Amino acid sequence: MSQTDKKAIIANRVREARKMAGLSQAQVAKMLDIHRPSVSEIEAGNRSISAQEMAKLAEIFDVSASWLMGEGIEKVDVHDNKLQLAARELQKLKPEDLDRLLTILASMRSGGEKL
Amino acid sequence: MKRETQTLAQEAMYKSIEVRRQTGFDLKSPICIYGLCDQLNVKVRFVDINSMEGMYYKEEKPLILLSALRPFPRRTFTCAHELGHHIFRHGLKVDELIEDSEKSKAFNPDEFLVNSLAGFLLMPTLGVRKAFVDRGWNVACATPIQIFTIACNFGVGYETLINHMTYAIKMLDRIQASSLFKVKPKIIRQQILGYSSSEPLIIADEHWSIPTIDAEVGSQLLLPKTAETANQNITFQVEHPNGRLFRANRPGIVRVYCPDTNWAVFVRVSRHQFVGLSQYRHLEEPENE
Repeated sequence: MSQTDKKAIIANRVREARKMAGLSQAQVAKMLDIHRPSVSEIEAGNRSISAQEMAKLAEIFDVSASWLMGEGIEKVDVHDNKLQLAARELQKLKPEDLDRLLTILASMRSGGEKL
Repeated sequence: MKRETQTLAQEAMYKSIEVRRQTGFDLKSPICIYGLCDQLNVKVRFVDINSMEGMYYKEEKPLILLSALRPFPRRTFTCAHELGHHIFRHGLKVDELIEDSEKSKAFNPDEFLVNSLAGFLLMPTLGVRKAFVDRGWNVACATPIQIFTIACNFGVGYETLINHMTYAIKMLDRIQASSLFKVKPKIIRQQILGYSSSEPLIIADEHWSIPTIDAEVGSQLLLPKTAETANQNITFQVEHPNGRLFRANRPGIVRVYCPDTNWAVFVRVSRHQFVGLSQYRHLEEPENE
């Protein structure tokens, strides 16, 4: 994977994680004590993120730092033995919604680690 | 079956008392369920998924996922329900869940147990009784508006409170419940406001018993007659015979107080159908951005 590809993946994951956390770019900028356009640049893949910023972002978004760095699984395997849920009417969940849930759960896992 | 449900309901009630005691809540006051989750180290995420109510994810870092697309009070109850799964350590693999659900379509003891726990946690018997006594209202002839007002204080829906008062704490008989069920929240809102409104209404009277009121952008709030706000997160709309009507405009926290009494609360406003981590739901947008 080229550095450009890697940067694009990180940028996408930061944007996705920010939205999943319910934060605006301005709110994240305030938490990181940087300017809002810097967050925009990170999400566009035009600005590198320091290790310290990455750790802080993972903490803010409540996702794993390794997932944020583009490592680990895209989504959790629904048949994974360690995946344990309590859910009513799971059958009624639309396939695309289940996919989305499994993606959210994957974001919380450390890189490469299966559930 | 009746015996089984009675045993489960009793278990749920005792557990709700234990949880309240362990987390420093008294046995009367309404609680913020998201605050309780926080205390129990359970993360809550609101997601924009329509085909589910909520889900509990049993892991090293336990997580509750709630659909942001459900009505505000519904989210509260669902969160309490999912927290029940955490408290009782429920959790199955997906294949087992599907099999389990097919086997017990008619009655699922775990679901009944956590529903009961959610009811007792959010609407403790002593608290509901106190809510009527404080207002000088007689439960035996409770009106829909009175039930609606008390449901607001406990953060639950009108019908949820009627169900709980009828089947769990037996403060209402079935005839009374049936009569109350006939009046829908939309009609109650119309009776209170004097016009039809599809926007949610929260009534916080002078007996409101906790320091916070949770609302989302678009909610209407009927507050005591002399209520004033410290900023524009909620704005005054109109005077009513029973109070002042405000509207939640933007996310954030605002102090609301009555200068002539000791009444004061913090109104915490979230975005409409907020998607994200519960701890950020009232976060204001930074200025000058």
